[in-house]
Amino acid sequence: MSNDSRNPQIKKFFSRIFTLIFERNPLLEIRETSEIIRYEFKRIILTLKFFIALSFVLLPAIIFLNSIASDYEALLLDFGIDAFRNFSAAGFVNIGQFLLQMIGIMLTLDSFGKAADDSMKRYFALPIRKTNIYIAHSITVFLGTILTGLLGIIVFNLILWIWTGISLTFLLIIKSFFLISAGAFLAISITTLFVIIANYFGFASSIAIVPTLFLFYIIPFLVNFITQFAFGLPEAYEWTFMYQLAVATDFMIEPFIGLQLSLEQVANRNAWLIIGMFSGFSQVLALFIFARSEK
Amino acid sequence: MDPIIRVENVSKIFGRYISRARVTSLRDIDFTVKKGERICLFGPNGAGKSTLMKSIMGLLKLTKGEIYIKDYNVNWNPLKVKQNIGYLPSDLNFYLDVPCKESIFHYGLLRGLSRKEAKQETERLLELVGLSKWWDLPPKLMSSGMRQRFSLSLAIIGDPEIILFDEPISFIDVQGKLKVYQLVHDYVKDSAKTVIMSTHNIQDALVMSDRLILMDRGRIIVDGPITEVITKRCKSMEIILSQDAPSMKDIIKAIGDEEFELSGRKILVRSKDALQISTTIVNKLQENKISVFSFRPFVEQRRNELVEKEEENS
Repeated sequence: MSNDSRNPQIKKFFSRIFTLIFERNPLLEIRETSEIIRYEFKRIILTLKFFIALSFVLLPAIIFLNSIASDYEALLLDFGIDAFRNFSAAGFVNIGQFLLQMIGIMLTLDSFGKAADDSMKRYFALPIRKTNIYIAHSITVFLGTILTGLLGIIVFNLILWIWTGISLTFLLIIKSFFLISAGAFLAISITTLFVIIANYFGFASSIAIVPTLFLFYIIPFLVNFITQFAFGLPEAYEWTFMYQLAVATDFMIEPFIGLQLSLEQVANRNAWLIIGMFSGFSQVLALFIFARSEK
Repeated sequence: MDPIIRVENVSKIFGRYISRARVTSLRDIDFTVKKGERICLFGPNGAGKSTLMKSIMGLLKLTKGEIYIKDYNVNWNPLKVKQNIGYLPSDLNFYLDVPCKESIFHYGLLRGLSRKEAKQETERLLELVGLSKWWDLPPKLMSSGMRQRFSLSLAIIGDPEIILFDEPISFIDVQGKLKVYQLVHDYVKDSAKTVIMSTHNIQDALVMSDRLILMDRGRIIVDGPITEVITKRCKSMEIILSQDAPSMKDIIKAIGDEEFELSGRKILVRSKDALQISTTIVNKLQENKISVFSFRPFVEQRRNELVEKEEENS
């Protein structure tokens, strides 16, 4: 008896799955997704042109200030112009990463924030899958961050070349970009999750930036400060994202800044695992909540 | 003729899983719509009109019941359903910074048009809504009436068979309203489109529709041809407020000297234009931040209560 009543339910379930997967041509899905990316990207450039233009100036300026900091004994980081002379990317990794994280967070708020969430009602009313809407918006954020990062590094390189006659090699530009992007992608994924949770429960999406700020900047600062100066427990800092990012990207920096000398390879691999898993898990969970949301 | 829309015993409860404060927005809604019908969902704020619209559109997950558009279940075949529906939401949710041509072209492509077709449609629709001069300009420079017309063009691109207008003229002045009325009227009359519109203004309902569904607190109270509903079935209307409102008398006096009966939180309107007058009262009350608990035909309500009691007893 119970089988009789369950069978139609199972049939319905599989029929639904089949419909969801094979309802349309996959090429159509790709066309839709790329069209949303095209439109959203154009919109970002139109609406955020001032900010993006500013970031092209700010990113190289901060990187450059940082790179010459050691000359003025205003040590923002351990490595300055000497590092660049050795074709090292170490000098601008941290500050560049921080700035690109900020750009990523800002783009995330723009794409998934409250205003965008309202505008998405129109997308929801069109014959497009929610998954495609989410993927398209995520790709737009990543693309925006990547392009801003790349342009920032190229502008920085230009300034550096004009000022000092030193130019980064192509490989170093790519490495630099990769280094500053790793943190930005993690920040984007986590912020996206918080923004979508905030939208789901009807909170202002600007609240979502608070946990990201805590996770990335405030907690590492407090942990570092308290453990090192108050309790003498520097190991606690290893539990922060910023430390894991430093470990994960350390192996790419030439010459080595020394961190990996005291670490085993497994620590580096674990750091990548932590960053990858947090980014991936955040994206999947955010997509799940987004797909479940009602507009 | 087979119905193009079937709403079968639909209920929607918000806050079922995450909140203790549950709100029942739709209760056992059941009706069908034939191809070419122009229907008005009518009722005060909070009656459930927008929720019903969104449910038909497949934007909400139903707590109970099913909705079919051309035999496609809205929750099981959302893409097929949305292909057939153009939706004009109550709030103007499009990007204000993007030029008009970009947005319409974009929505055209997403509705499955080719690039060439989407471009042609963009030109045609901007011409149709009288915004061809705004081709390259962003909507942020438009007046609210123009924005509403622009929003209309986004809703009808791709020539959908069914069009849902959720309070399409709620934000604009009388002249702007007339323009939008005319546009919708011209668009709908030749093409035999099926239109469902929601409003809390009886004048809008009279101009735009030929069938009226009166809603109150998530239920359908009256459903019939608009003239019949207004002249025969809504001869006396009852308005019940959510809380005591001392200023209620002044507001009603200012409206006119029609036959009103006031008792506590209840207002009873008896007149040949009862629906129109009571609608004006409800709108005025809501403008003065007085919340309306219920708005329904008086006799009809009694009948419903009797039926409910009988059902409970049986």
